[in-house]
Amino acid sequence: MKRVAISLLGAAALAFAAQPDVTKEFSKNLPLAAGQRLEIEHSMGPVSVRAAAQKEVSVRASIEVSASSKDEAQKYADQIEIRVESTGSGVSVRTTYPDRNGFRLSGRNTSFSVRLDITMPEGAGLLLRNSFGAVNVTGLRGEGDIRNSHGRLEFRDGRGTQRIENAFGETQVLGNQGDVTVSNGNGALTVMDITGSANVNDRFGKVVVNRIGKGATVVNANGAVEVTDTGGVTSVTNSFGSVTAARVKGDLSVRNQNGSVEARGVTGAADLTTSFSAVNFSDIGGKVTVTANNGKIMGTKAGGQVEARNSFGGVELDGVKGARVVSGNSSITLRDVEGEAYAKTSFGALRIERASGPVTAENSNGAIQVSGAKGAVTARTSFGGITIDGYGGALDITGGNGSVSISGASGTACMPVTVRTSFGAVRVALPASSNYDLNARTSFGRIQSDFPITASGTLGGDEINGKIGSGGCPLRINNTNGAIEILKR
Amino acid sequence: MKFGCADLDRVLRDGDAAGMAAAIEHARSCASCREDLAWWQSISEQATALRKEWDTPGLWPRIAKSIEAERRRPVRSWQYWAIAAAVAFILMPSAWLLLRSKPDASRERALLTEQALQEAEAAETAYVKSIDKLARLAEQKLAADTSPLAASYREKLLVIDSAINEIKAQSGSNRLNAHLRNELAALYRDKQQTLKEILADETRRN
Repeated sequence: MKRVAISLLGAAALAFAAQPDVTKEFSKNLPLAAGQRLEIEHSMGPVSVRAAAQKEVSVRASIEVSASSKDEAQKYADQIEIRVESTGSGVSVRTTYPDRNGFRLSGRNTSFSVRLDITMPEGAGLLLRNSFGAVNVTGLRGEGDIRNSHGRLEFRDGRGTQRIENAFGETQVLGNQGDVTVSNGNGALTVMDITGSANVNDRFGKVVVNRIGKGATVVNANGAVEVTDTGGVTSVTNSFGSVTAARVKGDLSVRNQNGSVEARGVTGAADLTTSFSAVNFSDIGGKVTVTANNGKIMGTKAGGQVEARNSFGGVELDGVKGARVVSGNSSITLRDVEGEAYAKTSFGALRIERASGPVTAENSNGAIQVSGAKGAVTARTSFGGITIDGYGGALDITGGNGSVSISGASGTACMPVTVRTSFGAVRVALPASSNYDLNARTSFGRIQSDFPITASGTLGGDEINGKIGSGGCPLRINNTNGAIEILKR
Repeated sequence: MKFGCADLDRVLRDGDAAGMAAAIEHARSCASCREDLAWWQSISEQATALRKEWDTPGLWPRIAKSIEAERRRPVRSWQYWAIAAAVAFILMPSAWLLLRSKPDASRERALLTEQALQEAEAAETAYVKSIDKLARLAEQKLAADTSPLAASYREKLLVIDSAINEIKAQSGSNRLNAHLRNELAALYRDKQQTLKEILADETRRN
């Protein structure tokens, strides 16, 4: 009981501690002809605009004032002016507050807010400027130019060209039949369900762009970007945030600086750049150009050639239509390349599996492994072994300080083999029915052959010339400080 | 006792283990509490990682909740009766004033009560002190960092501070405006998140 009494006293005290509030309602209607525009200038409160099938602008304002006394609150509320006027271009709605300096109040205790609820003809244009309050616009069918600051901004179900700008507040544009240009200074931004193009700009917030009928251009500075389901050329520029782009019907360009890039399901070409972070792509219909300094590159399924360049991160490509990869200080792995494969790196392993076209592999201070190649193979390295297991054309192998192992020739056509190396063994395994003109030379090593060799020309302790089978196809092996083995497969 | 959203602040404030376990269980099925709890936990983890004392990790939830509760809470009928009864007993002649000023529960209040403002300001002061501690740590890191990322963070902090000053200037002459108070809290939260990112990035690089 005592507790109830205290609560009652507390409630009473609380009630009297509250400042006196005055609320005042305002309303006015004015006609707005087709092709004209509604202009709204407001601050210190939310603005809600709903476009509907009507021929006039209906303005409802809720004025709320709190002051030291009810009388002061009332005086202040009475001086807040909602001007609704017809102008040459349409209808203007403007909120003006009394000059605080000129208004004799115990100013510190006066607080106020004005809420605007406006309905307007749906085909009319809208120019809206607000600050320090949320903005909500629904159903606009005319051209819109909407700017807000320090408040949430939401635009829904519009039609026409829309320009929407906000600063310091979350911004959502959800549905417009037409093009939109949306920018936000410092806040999250979501743009969805736009039948036209979307031009989106942010600085320090997460950006989500989804279901855009035409192309999309997104610029952000320090925040993640997600772009999905765009119907045209899509371009994303960012720094210091991840970029994800998926299901793009057209070409995709991503320029990032210090964030990861992920691109999936692009029907056209993809041009992807970042640094200090990874690039990951899959299901790209056209050519792919990737640059990732100090970042890993991973890609699967590209319908065009992949040109990739990076350092310190490694490159892995799988199922691409031609590859040209230049890396440094990292490994390269290419699998199932339809067409030509070119890979160059240093200080990392280089592996190419199942390339249908010619293969060129260049490495410094790292091993090279090529397997399942259907065409010619050119491989060069220093300080690393070279292993070729499966090839379908000429071999041109230059090694240094590492062994060379060759096997898996496919077909019966002449596939010339040239091997140069030093400080490592050379082992060449040939089909039993092979026909080669052999020239093998080494110093400080022995030459051994499973095949009978019909010797001819020079025959010394470190060199042998002759025919394997009926000859006719060049097989040149030049080694220093290593053995040479010619094996029958 | 069944745990409800209203209990979350108490648990964060008191920090008892049983209450915290109940809060975590409750948060599994309550998105709003889950968000508050995650926020609180991230602050706690950050504070632990920095080996610095953290004033009161639940301050932000308290600020936000006190503002939000004030704006949204429909005044229950028993409270009206209690107020009416108390007034009837204590100051009968003023009762009509009280009833006339009864708030419209159907719409969000645009203005806070003086008491809600005082609570928010008190919590905000402590919260800002905590942010200032983080800011000092982050500024040391940024001052020694010439990378583009550091430049971007410096720019972002300047932008946020400028916006904070702008809101403060407005709220100085419109103290009870709930939107301004919410915006200020959101900016402080943004600043704190940015400072955490700066320090986390520094930790990652080390």
